[in-house]
Amino acid sequence: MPKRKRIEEKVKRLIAVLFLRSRGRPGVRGYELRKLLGEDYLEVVKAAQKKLEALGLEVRAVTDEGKLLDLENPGSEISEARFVIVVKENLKPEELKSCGWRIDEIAVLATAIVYILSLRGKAPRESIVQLLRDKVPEWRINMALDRFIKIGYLEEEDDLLKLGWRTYAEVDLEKLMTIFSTSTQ
Amino acid sequence: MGLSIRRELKLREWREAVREFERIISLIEDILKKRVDPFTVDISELLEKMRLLLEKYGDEVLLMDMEALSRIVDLIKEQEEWVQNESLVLGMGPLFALARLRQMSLEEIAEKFCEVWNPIAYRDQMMVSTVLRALDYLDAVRRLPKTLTGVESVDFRLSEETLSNLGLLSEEAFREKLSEFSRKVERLLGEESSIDYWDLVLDDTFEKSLENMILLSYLCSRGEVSLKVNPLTDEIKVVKPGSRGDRFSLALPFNYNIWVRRIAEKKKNRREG
Repeated sequence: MPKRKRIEEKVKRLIAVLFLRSRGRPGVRGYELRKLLGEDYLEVVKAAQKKLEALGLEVRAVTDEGKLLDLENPGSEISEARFVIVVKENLKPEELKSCGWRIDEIAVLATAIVYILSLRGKAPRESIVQLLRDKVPEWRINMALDRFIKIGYLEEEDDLLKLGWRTYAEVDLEKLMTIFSTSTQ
Repeated sequence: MGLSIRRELKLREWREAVREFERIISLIEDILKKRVDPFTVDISELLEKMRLLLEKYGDEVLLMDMEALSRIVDLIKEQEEWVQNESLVLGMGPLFALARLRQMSLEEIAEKFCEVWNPIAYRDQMMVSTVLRALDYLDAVRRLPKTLTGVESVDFRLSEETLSNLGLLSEEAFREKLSEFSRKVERLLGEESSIDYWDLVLDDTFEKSLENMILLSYLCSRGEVSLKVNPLTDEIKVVKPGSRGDRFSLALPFNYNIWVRRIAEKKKNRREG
């Protein structure tokens, strides 16, 4: 089979495995892709990237520590990194519902992220609940926080919350902090 | 006699050294817990102090030295994380972030967040284990009384039959547990006009606490007690049944983590109280 056709076949396979989530976490690790697609799996990822761009999607590789890796210059961490497809276009608030999110849940996540970053990486869970309890019932805040911990947006360590791998993969944190430090009321 | 005094003095010095190690450990633990700037501590000074103590007392303080050293490693890790996040914070202090978040409405916060959020795109798929769990669930639902089907189910009350159908309790055991719990609630409500919900249901084990919650919900649906919720403080009180005014359903999330947190709060309140 010619190389181009072989790569195309692999691209189809790659996109299928990245889209279909198995087990709890979305995404597939680098070493799993190598096993599935062969040693040239990064070449396949780059080819898939081109196809997905036209659809407003992008392949990202993120480590468990939340570091986004450059696919052009992959380091040794790429093998352990998790490959995911993200939506490049930003969602509109009215689209949240159709994606299975409530406005207040997203506000809880945003508040938790900003507050955790403002405390340099970790924040007491109780403080986040206190901050939001005027706007959202406490049980709903706790339920949302538990859900975000479960799906990887946040991590809990002795009642302290910190950012999870998924937040680093999906959220532009620098832009978020810029927005919150410049937005006028 | 002189030997005994010397021994006593040595013991006192050793105790002082142990206290010094404890001070170092508690200082670092405080910083890590209260999220204070980890650079406020001079690590080299701490290490020098520990070196001198170790030189003087040797093996006698080795364990304490190891523990303090492990805390210092945690502190260095914390300093590293602090520096990593410093660039993102852009000089925005916690008070500033707090004030801004307080001012904004939920919609505004969500709208700003959407501008920087690129969610992962994926399709959920069901595994064989999930399908089997769903089948178990459907099987349990089929065994529920017919009153549960359809919108009229608002009048449904949790019965012993339902619980035993679901395999949660045997009829006899349930009745026994319920009457015992009912007596306990009655006695407590005889002493006070209201009882804190969590004080009543929380028990030494997670399973027992969950069981208490089920029993209490059954007493509520039988109209033997009522729940009073304070929307401002989120406090829930168990009270004697009052007038049959507006009735509402109350959903209370409960899992192992919540149980651990509530138990810790309860113990803390007891200590402070």
